[in-house]
Amino acid sequence: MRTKLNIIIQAASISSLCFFLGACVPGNIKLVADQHEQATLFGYDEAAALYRNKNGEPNYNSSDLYQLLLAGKSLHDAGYWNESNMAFQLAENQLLWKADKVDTANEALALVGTTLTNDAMSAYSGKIYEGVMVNYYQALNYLMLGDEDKALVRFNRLGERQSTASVQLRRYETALNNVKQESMNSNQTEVLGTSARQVRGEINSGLSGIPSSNKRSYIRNQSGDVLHAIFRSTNEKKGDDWQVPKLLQHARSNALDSDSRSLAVSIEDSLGHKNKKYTYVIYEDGTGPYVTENRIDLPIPSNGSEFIYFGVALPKFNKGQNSSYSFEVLGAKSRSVVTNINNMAGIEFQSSYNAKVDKALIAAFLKAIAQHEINKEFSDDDDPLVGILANVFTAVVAQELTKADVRAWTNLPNRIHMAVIQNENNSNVDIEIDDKNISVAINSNTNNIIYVRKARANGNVKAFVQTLPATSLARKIM
Amino acid sequence: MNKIVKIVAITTLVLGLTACGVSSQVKSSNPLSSSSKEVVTGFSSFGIVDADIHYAVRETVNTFVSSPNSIKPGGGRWIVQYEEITNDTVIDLNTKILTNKIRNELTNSGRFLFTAATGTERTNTISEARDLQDSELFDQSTTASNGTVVAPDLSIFGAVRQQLSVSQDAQQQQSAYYFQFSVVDIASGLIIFSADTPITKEGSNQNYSW
Repeated sequence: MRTKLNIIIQAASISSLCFFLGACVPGNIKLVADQHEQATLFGYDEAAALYRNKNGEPNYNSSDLYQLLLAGKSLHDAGYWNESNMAFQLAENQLLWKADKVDTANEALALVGTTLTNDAMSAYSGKIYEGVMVNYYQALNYLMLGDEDKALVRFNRLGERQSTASVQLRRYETALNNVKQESMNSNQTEVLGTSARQVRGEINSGLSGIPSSNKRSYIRNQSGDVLHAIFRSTNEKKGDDWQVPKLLQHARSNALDSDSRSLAVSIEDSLGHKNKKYTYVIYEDGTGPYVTENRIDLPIPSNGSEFIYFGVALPKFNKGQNSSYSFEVLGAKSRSVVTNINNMAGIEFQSSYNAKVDKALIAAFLKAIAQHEINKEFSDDDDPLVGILANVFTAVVAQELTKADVRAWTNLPNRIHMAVIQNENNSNVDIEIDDKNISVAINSNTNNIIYVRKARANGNVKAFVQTLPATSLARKIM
Repeated sequence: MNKIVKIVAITTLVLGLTACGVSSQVKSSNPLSSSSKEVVTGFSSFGIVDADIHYAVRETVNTFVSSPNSIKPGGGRWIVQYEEITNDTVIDLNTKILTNKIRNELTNSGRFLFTAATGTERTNTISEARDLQDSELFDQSTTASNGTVVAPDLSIFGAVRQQLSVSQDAQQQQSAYYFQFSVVDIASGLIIFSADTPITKEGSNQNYSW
């Protein structure tokens, strides 16, 4: 009796803890995501207003990386370059970990530590590609502010992250595989292997949104390499453009297709003609990929040939959405999609997916055993209510502990297009997005960057123009 | 048996903590640094700290002053202007701290004077003072005359550059900074001094170095 009382108390405690965790952490995450989604429906300024008060002061949790990423990009989209960089600086402070050092010790602890709970309960630790994009936007923000000194530092950080990203991804993958081998014994491996085979199709559907023929090198942001090259060729600093050919070589060798390879060649050509002036157009199209929960009933062997079905929550990668069907720069020498965020985010998602599946399977297996034991303990109790309560407790615990981490940096663009056009005597650059024409007045005697953002198909367009070298604040077009 | 287990556990813990402590230490090649390779404890950072600026300035000024070109032919002091000093690293660095220290040291050497009339340290005061020549408000005998500003002989430009590398096993990383300064003779276009002071820092590869 005493033992049963203890078990009931323990079960109740665990349930309370789960309710608490369920109510606090994932609830907050959901609130942040929902509020953000709602605000973005109304426009860039409305989304930015979620993260800055009327005095322009930050209005976000400075220790929550997930919120900082959303805030940084929302503020960037609205043209609050300084405020965006403040959020991104805080985000970057949490993204300094190096994946080539996330070896078995740390990663194993992180994984084992949440095996019985769920990923969504732990603090968001970020992704390799997110570090790349944070430095990219910081550099772009400083360029728009006309602060080339700080832009240079951010481009250098971007270059460092870019150069190590694919190596880190490979090591990260290896570390996760090592964790799998260390954390399962042969019996578990066999049992789980049998279970997983029966739901393999459903498990694999989590990867269906990832572009086919994806490769590790796509974790490198090609628009980052191109913009870095443009900056180094056009800035006011002396003698620091030796990296330009190397950056453009990366852009060519990792090009998504022949069009984006041609664009890299055209940009290299333009940077070689110091006596001619060009305008470079960056167009951020749509909203990036997102993650949803994919719940699967996993059959776990019970007695002999019997199976009990246990819920597994896996993350599912979903393609981002384009906001336009066409983008043209009239008279452009070359134009192409340079970066597809689905490739960047997808390759990292894919790398860790098997480890996440294994972890979810182990968790399901352990929870099934625990639930089975508790239920068995109470099933022969004199009072049938005790058995029913125990069943409810364990079911609730299992349900609360089974959640996928669906956090993703969702306000990134889906694609980044770039175009290059020679100024000649033009005083305007005409951009067409679907049926909308945007005529941007430029200084034809300087190189220029036009930055255009359209997040939603039925939403507004934001556009800014900056002269290169950038010495003052970018001009807002719309 | 229990005692043995306890001893092993405590020893392992102590060794583990010791190993962690050593791996987080950044070792600097800068002999003035409290984290120099000869010093075990002290403030350590992959970034550029005050001791690094102090060391880079000392080495640069020593190189310049020890050169025979530091003595102006015909006597007097060289008039020097600053050009851009580029921070081409991953660290936010206030290059003014660096240039101020170099200016002070070179001025104190008695061979150089710096101009605020030209270069990146140019102030508007000099031209604005000439505007006072048209003002009835000022005693014209006290206003600055035209044709009195001294043109520079030399121009200093430079950069702080960085090379980052990771060991083969990805356990350690190295951040090498290069404090590069050159002095050009404006009349001839020749570089008459050049100094390149490297400082390398080594430590754990756990995090990015900035």
